[in-house]
Amino acid sequence: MSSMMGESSYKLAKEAKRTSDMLISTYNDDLVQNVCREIRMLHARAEASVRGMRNSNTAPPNVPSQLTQIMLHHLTIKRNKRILFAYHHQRLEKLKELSWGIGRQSQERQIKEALSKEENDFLESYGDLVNNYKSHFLDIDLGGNGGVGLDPPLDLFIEVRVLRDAGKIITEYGELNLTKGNQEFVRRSDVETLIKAGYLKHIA
Amino acid sequence: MLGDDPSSLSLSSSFNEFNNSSLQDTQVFENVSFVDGLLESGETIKELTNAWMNERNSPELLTYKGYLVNELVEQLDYQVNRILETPMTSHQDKLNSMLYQNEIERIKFIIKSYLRTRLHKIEQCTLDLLRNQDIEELMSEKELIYARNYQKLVEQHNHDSFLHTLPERQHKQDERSGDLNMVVTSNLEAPVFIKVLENSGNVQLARDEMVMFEKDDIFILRYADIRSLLLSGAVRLL
Repeated sequence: MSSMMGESSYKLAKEAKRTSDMLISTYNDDLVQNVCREIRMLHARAEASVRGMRNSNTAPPNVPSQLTQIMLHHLTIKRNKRILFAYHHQRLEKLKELSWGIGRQSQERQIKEALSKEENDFLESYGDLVNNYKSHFLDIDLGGNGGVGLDPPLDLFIEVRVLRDAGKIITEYGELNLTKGNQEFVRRSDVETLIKAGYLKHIA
Repeated sequence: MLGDDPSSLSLSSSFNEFNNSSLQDTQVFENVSFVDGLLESGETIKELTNAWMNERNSPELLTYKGYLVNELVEQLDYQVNRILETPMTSHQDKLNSMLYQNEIERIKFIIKSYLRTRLHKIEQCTLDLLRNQDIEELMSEKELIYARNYQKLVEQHNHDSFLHTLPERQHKQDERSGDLNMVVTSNLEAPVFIKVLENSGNVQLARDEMVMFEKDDIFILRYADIRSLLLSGAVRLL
């Protein structure tokens, strides 16, 4: 029990900073548990101190060393809490970005392994929440899930080459038949999902 | 028949204007109007474009312009159906159809960007917004549902991940300590570019500065200073 106060949370904060560029890092369950354990310990100690002071008959409670100790414990607890929240918040932001960007596709398994169970639950629930909102605007297609992105539309129709067989696609304006090796002149909004998924390639 | 319609003359004249103005110019929206007397939509589109620009550039969530969005969604639907139904006989028909479709895509983009920007802002400051009294005006019903569920989701996640292991007194997620506040509020001091729409004379800024606002002036200043002017429509954000 000789570890410094706030050491684990410092490590957690450094890790959060270090991995901010990566796709997503593995959930560091150990460190998080360490920080929580430290908080519990500090809390217990602070409570014991306060109880001790209340029971003793020094009125007013004028033992500066005890007061400082309680204050220190309190501040460390708050700091640890702050770091925990920050760490989780950063990961959540990353997850949300992924959910809107690439959806749940190619790197899905890789991502799932890096997340804690709670984060996986969050990802699912968040997806449901977003889909629920999108369902009110189906005509507009708010995008996300690896589909339509947020770039302004340049051309109405684009040239694409078919990389993989995608069969018959039914669109708002008619049918498209996509067989491998063909070059097609298609509407941009219909094929953006397919381009992202790798079935078609946009030709400049 | 589209060809016989006298208003198709206006379409070809507007096509000339379309040729002259640059494609980036949002003024195009006003000229390519729907044939068949739906000219009011031109105003709606312009208003939505303004609302979209304001929303994109402001640091806080602005009032939801539901009436604009709903009307345009309806018009889009109507327009798409019209395009599908009209027979494409002449080249002029095909050209008209292409122009309409282009416009539809661009309007869809603006609506999409508007809604998603708002969602993003809601996610940033959820708790702060939910505690605001005027929330019914600020957000649409669906956004409100989204905000509540999102807040619940995040709190639940925090609780399940680590908060439940801590002693009960530490469970709160909205504490303040000194300058730090757990509840995120939007940064009203952020700088914004504005364009003055009406002559507003001398305007009092913070720190006792006075600035003369005349029509079509462009300024950069703190959002907090022009917030009330933005809400009254005297300025718009660039």
